[in-house]
Amino acid sequence: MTSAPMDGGGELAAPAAGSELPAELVATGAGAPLAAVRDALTGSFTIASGDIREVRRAYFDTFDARLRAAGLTLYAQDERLWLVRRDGAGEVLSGELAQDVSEPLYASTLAGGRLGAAMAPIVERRAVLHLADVVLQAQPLRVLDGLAKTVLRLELESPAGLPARLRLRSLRGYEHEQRQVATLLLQSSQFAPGAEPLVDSAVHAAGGKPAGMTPAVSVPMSPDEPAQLAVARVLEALTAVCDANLPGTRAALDNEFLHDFRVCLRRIRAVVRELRGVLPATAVPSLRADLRWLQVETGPVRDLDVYIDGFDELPGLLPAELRGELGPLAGLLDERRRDAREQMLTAFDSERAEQLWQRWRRLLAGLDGLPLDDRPDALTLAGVLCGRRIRKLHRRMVTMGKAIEPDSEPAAYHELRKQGKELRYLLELFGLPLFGDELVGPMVSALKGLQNVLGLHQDRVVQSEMLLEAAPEVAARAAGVGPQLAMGALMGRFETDAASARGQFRARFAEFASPSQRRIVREAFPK
Amino acid sequence: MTGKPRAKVLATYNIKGGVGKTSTAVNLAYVAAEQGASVLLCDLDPQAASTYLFRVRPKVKGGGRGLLRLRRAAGEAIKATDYEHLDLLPADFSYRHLDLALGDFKKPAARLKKVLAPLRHEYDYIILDCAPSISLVSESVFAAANVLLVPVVPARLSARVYEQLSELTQRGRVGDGKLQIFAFFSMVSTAKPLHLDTMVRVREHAGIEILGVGIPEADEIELMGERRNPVGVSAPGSQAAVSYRALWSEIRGRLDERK
Repeated sequence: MTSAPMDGGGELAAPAAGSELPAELVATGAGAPLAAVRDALTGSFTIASGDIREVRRAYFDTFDARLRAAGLTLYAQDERLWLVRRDGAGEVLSGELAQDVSEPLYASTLAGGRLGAAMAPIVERRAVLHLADVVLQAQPLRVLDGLAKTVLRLELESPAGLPARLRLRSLRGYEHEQRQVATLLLQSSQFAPGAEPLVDSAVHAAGGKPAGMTPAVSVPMSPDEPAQLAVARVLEALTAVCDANLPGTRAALDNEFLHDFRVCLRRIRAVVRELRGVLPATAVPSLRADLRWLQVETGPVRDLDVYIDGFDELPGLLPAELRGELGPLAGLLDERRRDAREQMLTAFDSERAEQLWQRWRRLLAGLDGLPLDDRPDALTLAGVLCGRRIRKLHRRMVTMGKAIEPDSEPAAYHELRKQGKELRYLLELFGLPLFGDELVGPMVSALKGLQNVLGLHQDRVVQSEMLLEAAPEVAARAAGVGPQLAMGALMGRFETDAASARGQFRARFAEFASPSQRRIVREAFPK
Repeated sequence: MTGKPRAKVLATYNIKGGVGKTSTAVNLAYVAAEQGASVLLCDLDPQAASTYLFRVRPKVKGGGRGLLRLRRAAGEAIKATDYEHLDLLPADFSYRHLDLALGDFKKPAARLKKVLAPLRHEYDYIILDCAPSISLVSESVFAAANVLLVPVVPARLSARVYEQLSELTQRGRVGDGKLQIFAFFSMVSTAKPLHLDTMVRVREHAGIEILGVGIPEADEIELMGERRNPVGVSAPGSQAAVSYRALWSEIRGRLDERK
């Protein structure tokens, strides 16, 4: 079949394997692109041209560019949404656009058609945001053989302010002719394979980042550079992610903005704490206090987000007769999240937050010019300082973990988990670029295994505590005892999960703290 | 390739030539594709009239034998037409020996169905344009198709063909007994009293069901060979084009009733 828009159910088809036909060419010459196409194909093929029309196209993706990462592009045009492969091959899906393009889209609101079905597993609950607009002159062209039969469809697109593009839409059974056409166009020197798809050029031109913004921060560094330089670059990158996620957090576009904001805030705190000798000793205590305050202020919303996002799964944890009894709890959680959001926004708008960010930015901008007398580690080599901290944190975790028994208080597990997060951040932010993936990768994997168990334990403990705390209020609202019984049953289930996590702890910890792992840490990271 | 094959297979068939089989196959395929369905038109007639109309070279690698024997031959021979959603499996001159080629197989009548099986996952409709004959190829077509579309020129002799076919089907000698037969009047001239009279008499005949829509005798249809386009393209507002749209609508309605 030809590449054609279709509605219905199913997934976006991949292009035929082994297809070497370039799906898009960019005009490189100064002349009119249609004339260039005709010239290039003269003697071999003729061109039938359709009417030129003006097209307004709006591109969309999630903040972290999930569609792009999945090889897809989403755009609105002619009051419809179109989902296409970035490489221009394969099938095109389209669906109705029933809202203004400036409003975020959600897979849940697109459910029902093939478009929503194709997007949902990729974007999940993330908002799909309007990234850039393009106005272009579009003209359909057909390449005809000697029988005046169409052997290839071309779409000539001339976007305002950007080079013209020629999209090649393959036709079944004419692969040989298509290769001939592509070869002739490329040989003419008037066209070249597109370095980047139009969507990326448009997003660049609009001042955006086509690859989106993810919380993953990867800063190159050398073990032999002064630690203050490496630390400043990492903190700047983390701050940029916090900044970028703040508007989406404030507008509650989706829950991942706050999550990513908090992850980067926690990473900043870990760096400030573990590598504090690089920063002015006088500034560190208040910075740490203020950063912690911001983390605390944003915590309740995140906890409630996690609860509410996973709420659909809770009835499945209950006996059949109690599954319909969670309504009052759902209502309470929604209300609490609203209140918590208000409190969080107040914190964001506060004098304390404003001063924190001002001080913070000033500090980062001038870090390498600050006096060295209260920054003993500023000029220490990055490899030495970070290696030393990684070794020390690892040893501390081994000691803490050894002291944990099956009947230890939940707080002991939680403390170990917090240390684990700091170690993981140090390993990912500094360990990988300084010591390489071969050494650090397995350490991160073993640590992740341990952290997963500790994370499940902590989540269930927090959820259980929240239920206990909310029980009186739910009881006061509910007409019968059903909701209380349901919450009691949930707490029982959470406690079972937490106990199961405790049961898995020893094996995961043994892996993390194995003699071979400890020997590697001793040998690889300096004292 | 998983799941239930979605394509309905329709074959234009009549033992007589010159009754409008090819123009029906081409125009119905075009109308269905124009309405958004994915359609494969298979030109099984060695005269290759459908293939010619779509400006495709009448050549299938390996010829008729290859088509029947090789697993992927049909898929690889398919050509996109100039129209969205409409592909063509071209004819080949060797199809004149398709009967002999079918005879090589243990179950010759089931062979075409097997060849089309993978394609039924790719398309909504597969339309077979058959050569006029009663032969092993016809039996193959009856076995592969869900519906026979039988153009009947409103003349006594032509109507008799449909009558015979209907009798055969009812006796279970054609296909698997589930084959539906949709006859319709073709090349109708309302100016000819004989046509009108025959149409009335055939419709009244017990046991023969004729679709309500008929296709007129029209210059636009005759000119298809010259213009090499479906009438929906060369004369979209013509009575012929309107009639094919109406015929497709009636056929679709009857197919939907059977779901």
